[in-house]
Amino acid sequence: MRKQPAFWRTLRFLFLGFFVLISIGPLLWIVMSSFKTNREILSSAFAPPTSFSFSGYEAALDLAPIFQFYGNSVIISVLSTLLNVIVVSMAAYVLARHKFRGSNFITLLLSVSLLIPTAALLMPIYKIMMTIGLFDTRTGLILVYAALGLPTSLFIFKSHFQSIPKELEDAAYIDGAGFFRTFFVVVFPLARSGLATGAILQFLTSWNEFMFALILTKSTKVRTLPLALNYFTSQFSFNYTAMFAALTMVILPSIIIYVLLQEQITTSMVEGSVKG
Amino acid sequence: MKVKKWKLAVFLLPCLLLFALIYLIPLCMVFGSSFFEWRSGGVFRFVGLGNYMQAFLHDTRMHAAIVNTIIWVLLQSIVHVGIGTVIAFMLSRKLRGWKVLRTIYMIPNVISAAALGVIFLNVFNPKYGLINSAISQITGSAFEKNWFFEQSSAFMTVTWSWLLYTGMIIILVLAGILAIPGDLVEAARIDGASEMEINFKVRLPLIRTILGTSVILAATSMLREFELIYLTTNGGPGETTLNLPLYLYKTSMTDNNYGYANMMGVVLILAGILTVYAINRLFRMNEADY
Amino acid sequence: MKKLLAMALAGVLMLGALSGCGGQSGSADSPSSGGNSGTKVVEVDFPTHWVGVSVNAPWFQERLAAFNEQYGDQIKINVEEIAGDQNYVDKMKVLYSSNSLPDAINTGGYNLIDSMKDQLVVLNDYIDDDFQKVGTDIAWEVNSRDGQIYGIPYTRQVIGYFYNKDLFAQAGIDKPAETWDEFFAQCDKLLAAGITPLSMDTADSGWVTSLMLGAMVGQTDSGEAFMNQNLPTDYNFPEFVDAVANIQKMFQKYTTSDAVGGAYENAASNFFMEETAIIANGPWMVSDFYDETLVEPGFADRVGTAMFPGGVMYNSGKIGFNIASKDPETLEATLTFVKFLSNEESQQRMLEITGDIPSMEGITSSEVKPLINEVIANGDAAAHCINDFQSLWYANVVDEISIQYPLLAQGKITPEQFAKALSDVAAKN
Repeated sequence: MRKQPAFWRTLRFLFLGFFVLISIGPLLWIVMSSFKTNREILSSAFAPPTSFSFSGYEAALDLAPIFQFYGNSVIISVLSTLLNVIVVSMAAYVLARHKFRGSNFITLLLSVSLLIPTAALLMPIYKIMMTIGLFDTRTGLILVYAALGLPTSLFIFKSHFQSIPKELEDAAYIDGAGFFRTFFVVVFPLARSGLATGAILQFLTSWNEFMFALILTKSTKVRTLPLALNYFTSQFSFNYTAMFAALTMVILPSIIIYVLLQEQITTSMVEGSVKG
Repeated sequence: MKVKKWKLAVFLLPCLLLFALIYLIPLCMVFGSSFFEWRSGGVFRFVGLGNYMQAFLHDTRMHAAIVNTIIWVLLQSIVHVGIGTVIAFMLSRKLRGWKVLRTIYMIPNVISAAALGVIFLNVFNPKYGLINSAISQITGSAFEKNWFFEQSSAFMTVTWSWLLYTGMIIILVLAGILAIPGDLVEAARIDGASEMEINFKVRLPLIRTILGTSVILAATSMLREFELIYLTTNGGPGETTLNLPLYLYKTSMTDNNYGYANMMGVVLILAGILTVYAINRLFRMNEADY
Repeated sequence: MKKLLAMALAGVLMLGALSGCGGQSGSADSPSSGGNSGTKVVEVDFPTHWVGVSVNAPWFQERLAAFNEQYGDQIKINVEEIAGDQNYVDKMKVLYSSNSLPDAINTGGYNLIDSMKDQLVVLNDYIDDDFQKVGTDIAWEVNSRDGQIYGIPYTRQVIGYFYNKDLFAQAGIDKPAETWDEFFAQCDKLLAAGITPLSMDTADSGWVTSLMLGAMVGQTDSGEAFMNQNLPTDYNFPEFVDAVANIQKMFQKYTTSDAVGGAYENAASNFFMEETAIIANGPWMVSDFYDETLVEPGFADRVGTAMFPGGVMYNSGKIGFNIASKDPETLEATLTFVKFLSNEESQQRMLEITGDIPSMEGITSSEVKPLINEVIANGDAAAHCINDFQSLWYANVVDEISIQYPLLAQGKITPEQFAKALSDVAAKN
């Protein structure tokens, strides 16, 4: 690779650095605020804490059932991501590779779900979940979340399948592999980076979703983390220290989960795949 | 290669079932009830195109919301995707630390909108905000611009809260670039193409469909975005930062006017279909690359 | 190999789905399995936002424990925790549109009666003369529509304003103003002494600011009537426009630079930090005056409370518990529960724990902070008693205030245009 002139390298460094700053700034601010008193947060929002204590964390764990919600969030996000990736990738593959009468209509229909406003979904989905007995269950939330990410995943998977050279599949067929085998053994690994991307976005969607979690559950033992953050502010009372402590406890591990997921998915599919 | 129909059906069916379970009934309800006057307290009567006529002929707030929505869709499709793509290309050279950067750029996506709202309100706070403090430091005189709540700056300030956060675009485009077969790039390099030429003539055309996908996701996200606006300016001052999804939310939740809200839902869905169709054509997304 | 992976994934998924179902069966089965041998336990669903930092949370925990001790073998309260008052209201709206409201509802004052009364139980037949004492006439009136009772009161709305005695003394002010002219003269004195007079806000309906607005409207008899009217639609009248003009003046001259766009927290913080001299708010704020994570030690001793000029106080009923039980048996149990939470003892404990004023007359306590008793005394002595805008006005009008205040503050609209904007939005209902 040729060396670029110093000027361009400096410019690129500043450019990337600026975005690092605005991306990491909010996180640093949250972590810093979790060690300040309410008074310090409200009077000097950007000054460092004057003393260092974990009382905000104690208060946060005391006020809201954070650990319980944590477990639920992990289970629900991971399973809805798996469900979403498997179900949607199969459909996306068919829609990307095989033209048949109605295939465009199906693509359109599935894309429309991206645009239905949440406010219009709440009541019907609540009724459906009541009817099929999945109200107040993790399974209900898993299904709904897998569906919420359906259009996004569909777009991503479809475009990745389209960019896989067709000869590789044909070679598999000639070798005597069937349709299912070709998909799972040849195509799936080839599209790994696309699948990983879709999975990450799906995971984050499930991880941060608030409104359906509120409406479709009622017992503390199936609820998820985004609901916990409201325990620290009400109309006339607030505990910002505890809120930022809770935010820190939510965000830091989710970044770790995200990193692990990204590495895991990428590497687990690299091994044994056809050279791309 | 011909594949038996039933095998295709088996692959499509789970996805269609999931769609039908979650979306079919709401979708029909949105379209159906957009022709009704439907409010809480049991008001439900057919008004034909009444809601649509009211919205497009008389409702000036609706017009303002539509204009704002269009501006944001365009900004997000062009500037946001543009920045994300440039960063993705820089990272794709796999310079030292590229994986760390890829993770850092995604961090804002992990933070919930509620928290981001609080952060932005503090950053742009007129009294002690980061921006004003910095300007005061540099100029040496007190600076107290109320970024979010002055008509002249509100729209721009709200825009900053998502325009520069391109983590999703970065990982999408980066994944696309990394999936490009190495031999194609190698061939171009042997032909004597510079790195810049390879980017523009080899890589960019090859990730065409993925770029299209990025634009679709960026554009449609602006047809859904309301939470951050709601948590910062609440659409104000006046109608300065009101967009269609927020107007829909308010019509449904505070006006309790469900028919009218669902009419906006239909408008958003149709706008979305149009957007997706246009981007599909623009990026020739239904054509395979090979 | 890859197939194996896929199979494994599918297996994990199934397992998860099963465990999810397992989690459900516990809660879904319980309503039908009516308890053990003989005595039937009736279940009552009660979602509450009295959790986390809510000032009512400790009170509710205590009363719930007391209730369970007394009635636990007959009635089981299924408490659903919904943190955040706005989330609570949003969820009730969805449940209402699905015709599945819970047995007992308490929004903390947000009016659901007018939009949901077709699904709420009319309570007239269940309230005897003895129980009627838990609320004054006005408290019951606020919970009724056309003589039908839809809510059981347990608390009352009494609001004046608080001021910083030290800052007043620095500006040479010896006592709170009795007329609005005097009030603005005091503001000028404060300014002259280098003190910002008022805490104000605009976000979330601009609670602190709008309390001032309502108090100015309520100083005449017709204004007082307007400030007690449920769901008004016309704001285009002189008292209102004049009051808005004064609010405009306050924004432009007498408040902090972060008032426009600020929320209650910002307004409160400026008062706590002794950067402003005056804030309008209710007695529940008093406990914060003693909280040293918020204020300097001794702050509470420097705070006084006053009636609004013109002898105006917020002094009215507040919407209490609504009931939406569907069968007689559950209804009876729900009534037992709600009546317990609003009885004399519960109200007294509420006063002691939260500083909320009981809806029943004559409840006092020696454990209450003196400032709260002063607020109550002001309420009783007021010449004009009004109710607050959040309880009375349409939800979309309350929302509209927060996006029109910035325009008003920056002089982009006139007070007349402000009044018209509210009237236009009210007409949408």
